[in-house]
Parts: sequence; C-alpha cells; structure tokens
Amino acid sequence: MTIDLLFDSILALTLAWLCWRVLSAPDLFKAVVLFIAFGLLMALAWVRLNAPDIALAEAAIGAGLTGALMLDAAGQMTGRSFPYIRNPEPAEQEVDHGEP
Amino acid sequence: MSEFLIYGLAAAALFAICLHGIITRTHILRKILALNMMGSAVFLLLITIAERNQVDGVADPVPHAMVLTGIVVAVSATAFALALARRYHAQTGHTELHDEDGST
Amino acid sequence: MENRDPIPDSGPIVRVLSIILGVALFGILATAVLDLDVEATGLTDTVMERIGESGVDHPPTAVLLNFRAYDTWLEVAVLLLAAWGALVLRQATRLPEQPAARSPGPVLDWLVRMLIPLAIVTGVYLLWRGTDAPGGAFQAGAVIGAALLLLRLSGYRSIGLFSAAWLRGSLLAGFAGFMAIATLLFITGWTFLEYPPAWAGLIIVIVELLITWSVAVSFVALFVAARPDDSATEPVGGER
Repeated sequence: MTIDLLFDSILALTLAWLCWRVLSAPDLFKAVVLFIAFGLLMALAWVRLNAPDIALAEAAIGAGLTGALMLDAAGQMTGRSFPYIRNPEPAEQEVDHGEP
Repeated sequence: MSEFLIYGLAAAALFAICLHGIITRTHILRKILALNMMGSAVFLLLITIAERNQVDGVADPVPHAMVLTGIVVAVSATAFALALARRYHAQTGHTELHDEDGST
Repeated sequence: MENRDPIPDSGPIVRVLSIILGVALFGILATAVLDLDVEATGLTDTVMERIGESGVDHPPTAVLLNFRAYDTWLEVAVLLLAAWGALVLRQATRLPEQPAARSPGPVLDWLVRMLIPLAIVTGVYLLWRGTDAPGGAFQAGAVIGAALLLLRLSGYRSIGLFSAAWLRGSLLAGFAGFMAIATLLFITGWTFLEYPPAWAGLIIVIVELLITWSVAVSFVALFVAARPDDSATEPVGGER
C-alpha cells in the first residue's frame, strides 16, 4: 500500500517536473523529446488509474503520433533535420529561448 | 494522502504550469505543447474522479469514453495547429505570432 | 533568416503576473479537487444495468460506441475536418511519394518486412479485442496508421498509391458509415443512433472497422500533409 502511494507520488512529481521542463528547456528539440517522455509517463499513470484503454490510446496517439508530428515540426522550425528528411540547404540553427 | 489526492493535485499543478507556459512562451510550438499538456491535465482529473467513483471494482466508464474521445480530438487539433504553424513559418520565417502592427 | 536573433519570451512584468495567476489557479483548483463529493458513484450503475443490451462486454467500448455514440460520431467528424484542413493547406488532393525518397538499406528493409505484418495483426487484434477488453477502433487505427507511415518513410509506396477519390473516401468512411447505419435505423423506426439490442454487436464491429480505416488514413494524411518538402509549401515571399 505505502509502496503504491510512494510510486504514485513520484510519478505525479515527475509528471509536473517534466511538464515544467518541456516549457522551459532551452533547446526546442529537447523539449519535444521530453514531451514524448511526458506522454509515456502519462500512459503509466493511466495504468495506475485502472484505465488500460486510455493508456493504449495515449501511448499510440498521444506520445507516438503527436510526438512524431512535433519532432517533424521542430525539425522544420529550427532548420535542423532528421536523417530521413531531405534537406537541400542546411539552415542556420535557430535559438529558441525557453528559459534564459 | 490517497491516490485520488496525489493525482488530483498533480492535475491541478499541470494545468497551472501549462497556463503559465501558454502566457509567457512566445514560440508557437511551445504554446501548442503547453495546450496539449493542459488537455492531459484535464483528462487526468477526469480519470482520477472515475477511479474513485467505482462500484464493485468497475471504474466509471463514461469519463473513460470521454477521455478517449478527448485524446483523439486533442491530437486532431494539435495536428491541424501544427500544419497551420508550419505553413506560417514557411511563408513568413517567423516562429512567434505577431500583432498586426508587427510587435510580438 | 530573420529569426537568427533570439526570440525573447514575454517581459518580466507579464512573467510575474503569470506566475501569480498560475499559483492562484493552482490554489483554486486544488481546493475544488479537495471539495469533490466523496460519496458520488458517477454513472457506473446506469451503464452496468444496461450493458447487456449494448452488444459488447467492455464498459468503455459500450459507452463509446453505443450509449454515447453521438460523441464518437462527432469525434470522427473532428478528425475528418482536421485531416481535410491539412490537405487543403497543402493544396493537395493526393499524397504522392516524394521523388527523393531513400531506398531502404538491408537492415531497414528487413525490419520493415518484419514489422508491417506484425503491426497489421496487432491492429486487427486490438480492434477485435475491443469488444470485451481494452482496445478498440482508435488504438487499432493508430497502429495501422503507423504501419502505413513506416512504409512511406522507408521508401515503399503506401498512401501515395491512393487516387484522390480513394483518399477522400477513406477519410470519409468512418463518418459516412456511422451516419448511414444510424439513418437506416432511424428510417426503420429506431431513434437516431439507437441500435436494436439483437444487432448491436454486429453494428458496432462494422462501425469500428470503418472508423479504424478512417483513423489510420487520417493520421497518415495529417502527418504527410504537414511535411514541407513539397513545392506547394515552399516559402512564398517572406524574409528568407
């Protein structure tokens, strides 16, 4: 029982901390990767809350699809690219200031 | 402290942090990320309530269905917002929204 | 590019005000959470009472596709609008393969050959299990959409093969199929989106199949249509 509550508390704190880091990590790419981690931990929270349906949907749609879309958009907006994106001219890396 | 309190307070905290993020961050992608996580906070609260309101070990299925619907609607809105943002970026080169007079 | 300059976040005043607002909001929300009625039982009893008539055994699926089918129908409409909007932004009616798509290396090729059948089996399994266990049309659609996307990203032809009519039809299938079945039952004397208990299971499986396909294609369309590597979305004017 106490172990469960300890796990829940740590998970909840990690979620809040990740949320803060997503919004303040200076590097936009890092922020998106942290967002995917946030989605996966959220799926863990759904399992803890007896909602396996939502855990499945969150892992596949929330973390997977949204994460992929976000990474792709971040790649375009920062001028960086994935290995699989054809990029004719390597643009300068743009600085995104989350937290100064 | 119970499971309900832990996740309920976490949902409140997530919502507040994301609101702060939406107000203070100027980069469009960060605003979209914040909006998305704000949705997750609402879902978390709904499911926490459903988990507490269980009868004979069955959690309330109506919030579960609502959250499943919500996740798909959230991803649709996010994807469309991203398509708009990328189009905007491709056409103007900006990554933040401007007022009509050109100020940020 | 003009945004090589750092983009400033909002000024210190806004920041401080926003933090105050955030803390106040947290206080209010936390009070509200602590205040919630402990004795409430929600709608569990109402759902469990009638679940025998829904045609499925898994309570969330019963709510999603029978008791609150209206919500799900409009959810499919939202997804359809989003995918359609993305296509309109790209000014495209089809999503042809990019000419410079890479040829997959031997490892990727092997992995794709292994993963695609696995993804399809997993998707169908999730769809089928959704009637009495966690799973369902949206999860299955996401898995099958991921398979289509993997094919495309590793240089195989997938959604690019679809003609404009096929693409539109696939996007529309879930919404239109749902509506057609509901209208048919409406004409034969049932309330709109009400299913006869004897047929409910079959109707739900048909609707779920159509939704799965629409969800899969919509997700791929949303992902592909947002990619900029197409002449239609090259910068027009702008400060480049």
